[in-house]
Amino acid sequence: MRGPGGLPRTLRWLLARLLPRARRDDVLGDLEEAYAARVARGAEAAARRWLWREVAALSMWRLGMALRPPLRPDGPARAHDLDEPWTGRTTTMGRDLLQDLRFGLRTLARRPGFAITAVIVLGLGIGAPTTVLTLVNRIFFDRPPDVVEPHRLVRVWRSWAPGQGGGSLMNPDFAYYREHATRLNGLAAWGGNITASYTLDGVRSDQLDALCVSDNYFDVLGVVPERGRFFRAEENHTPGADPVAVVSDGFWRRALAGDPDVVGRTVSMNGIAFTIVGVAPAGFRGLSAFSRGPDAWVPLAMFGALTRASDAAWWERVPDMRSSWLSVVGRLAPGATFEAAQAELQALSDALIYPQRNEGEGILVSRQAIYSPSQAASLLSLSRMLLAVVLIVLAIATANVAVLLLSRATTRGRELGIRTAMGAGRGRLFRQLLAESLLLGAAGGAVGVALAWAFSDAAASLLPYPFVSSFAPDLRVLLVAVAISVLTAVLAGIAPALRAARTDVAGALEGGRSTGRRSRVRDGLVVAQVALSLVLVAGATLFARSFWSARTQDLGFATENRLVLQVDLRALGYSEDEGRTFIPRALERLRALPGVEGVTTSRMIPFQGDWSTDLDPPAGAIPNTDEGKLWVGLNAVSTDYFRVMGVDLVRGRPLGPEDGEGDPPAVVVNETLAGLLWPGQDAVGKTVEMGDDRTFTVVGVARNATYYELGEEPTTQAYASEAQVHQPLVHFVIHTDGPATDWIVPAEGALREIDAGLAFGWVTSMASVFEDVTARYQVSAVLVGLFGALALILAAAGLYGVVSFLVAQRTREIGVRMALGADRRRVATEVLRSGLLLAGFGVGLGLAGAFVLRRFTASLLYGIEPGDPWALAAACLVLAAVATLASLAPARRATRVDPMEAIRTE
Amino acid sequence: MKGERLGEFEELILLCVRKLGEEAHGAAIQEVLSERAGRDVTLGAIYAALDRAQRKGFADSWLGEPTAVRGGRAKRHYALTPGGLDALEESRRIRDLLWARPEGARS
Repeated sequence: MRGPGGLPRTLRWLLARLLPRARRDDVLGDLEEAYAARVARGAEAAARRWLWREVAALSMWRLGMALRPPLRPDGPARAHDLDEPWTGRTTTMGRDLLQDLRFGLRTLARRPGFAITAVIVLGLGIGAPTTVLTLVNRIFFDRPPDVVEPHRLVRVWRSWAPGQGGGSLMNPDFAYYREHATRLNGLAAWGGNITASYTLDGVRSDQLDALCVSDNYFDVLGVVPERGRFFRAEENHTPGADPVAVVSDGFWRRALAGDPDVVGRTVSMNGIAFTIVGVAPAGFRGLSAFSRGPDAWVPLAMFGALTRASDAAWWERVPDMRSSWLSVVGRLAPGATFEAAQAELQALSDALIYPQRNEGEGILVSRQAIYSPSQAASLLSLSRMLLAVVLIVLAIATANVAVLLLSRATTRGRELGIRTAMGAGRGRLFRQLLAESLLLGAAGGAVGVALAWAFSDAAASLLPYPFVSSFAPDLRVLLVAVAISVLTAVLAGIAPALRAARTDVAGALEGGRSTGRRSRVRDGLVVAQVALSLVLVAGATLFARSFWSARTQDLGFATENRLVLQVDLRALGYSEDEGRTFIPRALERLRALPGVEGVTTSRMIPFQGDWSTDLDPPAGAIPNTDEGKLWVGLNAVSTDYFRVMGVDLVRGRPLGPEDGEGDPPAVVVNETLAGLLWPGQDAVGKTVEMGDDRTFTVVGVARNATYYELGEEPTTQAYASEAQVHQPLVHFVIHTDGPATDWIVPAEGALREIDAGLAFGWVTSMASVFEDVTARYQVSAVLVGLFGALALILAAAGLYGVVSFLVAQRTREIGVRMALGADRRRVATEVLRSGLLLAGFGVGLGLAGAFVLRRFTASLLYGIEPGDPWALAAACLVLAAVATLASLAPARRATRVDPMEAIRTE
Repeated sequence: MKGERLGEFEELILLCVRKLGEEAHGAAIQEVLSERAGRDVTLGAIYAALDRAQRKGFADSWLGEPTAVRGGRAKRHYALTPGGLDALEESRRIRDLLWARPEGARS
């Protein structure tokens, strides 16, 4: 016969956990006895099988016990029945929990100050990640309205280097892929967002936004028309031949008064009569997350007619920058995987090479339906950073509440001691305290979700992209918030509960309070809070400095009070000669407007793409490409460009009226180009061959400026005279004596006096161009700054709480010492030191943390290093100041301890 | 009596308790049920029935002293309450009543 160890040990352990304590001994005894009897009969294997059946049955029994009302209170009370004290232990689990929660609620209500503090802290801690999760959820999981199965969509972009891309496609490319891709169930394209003036029933109305789309655009997206139909394949073949349009629900209601017979009506856009064939469903906005969608959709083939491009060949044109205009989306064929489609498109791309333009280029296939690769990458890195930041905030809040609970568990020593003495088991106390923190977690979670609800729209408005959808938390986010709340509550409650369960009964009853002994756990938690907030504050300082350095960096040109109006003369149907006469007339009109200080035109606007040429470097020049060529950025500008744009000349003269069409070709080069072409020499008067073998004479040297992106290496630039190098795409730049956007209406009006049908491409101020460029740095700075401030407040509160608590606990000791003549100042210093010591540890740890984390922030910073000593030093200073403030009040309180009072209360 | 009726299984268990007397505890009840009634019943089921009986006031239990045979673990002893005994007798009376046949009937 087997001894005490008859049952397998794991089984015994398992059952001991499973069974209520009152039944543990006798049930295990019965099992042991019966098992031993079976083993003694010699059927050990059968006995084992039997054993597992027993365990299963016991589990069912235990479960039933938990679900049924308790046995004891209803049963006959007999003296021998009370073989353990009444603690509620033998009640069922479900009832235990309810009781724990009810009791917890009462205890918390008794100290509302504590409960409210904890709930606020938890609410802030949980609200931060919930808000960010709401954003992330909407950004990456929002489905474009009315688009069927967006996860089956793939986008095709032009790529200029392996893995890099995001460019639009050209017509022939699109046609080629559409024809050959078998893994796709259709490839659609859109492009050319046109602002057209429209006429209804012969009455001149307002302007509308029209988008040119391929005939299968709606089919590929899976959209069903609200009225009428969408486009037919034959309506996209011949440029200008099929003036048909689909209008948006909004336009139909607004401009067409919801006319039920809208199909077949005519709307005239830019003078062309379009027949309305259908109405798109309400809310449909294509794949964009950033715009409300156009008012009308027209076939791609109508683009030329709508923009009055006289050049009939534009439809087939290949090697031209402007012809790269199509955004392309495909839908995976049934059964086709993304990878298969990607491989097929890549193979197709490799077979498609145009000698002049496509060399070295390929395509980038992306499953991100809404964002371009660069948008997706920047949103992803921003989301990651924000998630990391809010997790830190959450950790700080958790530690903060843990400290609050720990302190409370200590002051509740007497209560807990009494309950232990009355027979409450440790497990029971542990559960009780955990139930309390769960209650706090639930309330904090509710506050957090409410905060997220209130603030996620505001947070979204800080993002660098103008999202259309509203940002309310949805079910997915709510579930995560609940999980976070429970986890936080358990994490915050576990240390205090464990500690309380270890309460020393005798000590607790005797002293009522534990002695001034410090808790390592509590100190550790405070240090952790300080450390984590240092990381955030350092991050916020870094981002603020980065944003500042982006905003204040010298661009080399002016941005204030400059209005930019883009006019595409070729799209408007101007011949070169017509264009050449239009520009001076337009400049003259604009110059005559009140409040205009200067006007010019420029082919290129900073941060908006590039136009360049490769020169064979003349003798003595320094090449700047791997192929030994000299890469030169180009621009064609009108008279006054340098003055209007605020670009300084370091040598020579600017381009002016003397550089007209028939005059000798002149060029202004920037310092970098001058240095590369004629190292160590004066560039003025030198000649250089550019473009169609014309020889340009350098008339001036301009100061380097920023041309393509913030913080770029100094790069080459050559400015030619617009009159000598005519460009049909021009930007009018107007220097105004007030906010530039106030001049939009007068400027457009002035130009329309020359040509009433003039359409403008891009109208904006240089200031907003620059703001768009720096927005990403601003977002990081603002959001991390907000969360950093939150972290700082929480950490300060934590420190204040702990130091105050220490003072409160040591009141008696301090009183005695004062009674014995201790110096008040010394007492205060001691208290202050205890707070600063904790803060010091935290700062040290935080510095180490910030150092470790620095590489994650590098990609989000501009102009400063992630380990920037100034930012770190500033963060340390801020924390030191906050820690001092947080410890000062308790220190002062310590000096006010009245010895008599302190000794009497004990 | 509270008007509670005995289930068939409950009745069997209570009969075992009565039969075993001083020795009525989980493992012993299981053994008796197996040997005398030919029913292999799990301890879990037995405990559940005993709990039910206790709730109805038919049985009572208390912890005994630890015994070496059981790995030093105590036994929970069960005994019938007067109410339990009444219930068993009532049950038996009804059965007898139903078993009895009218005079002259053949078996």
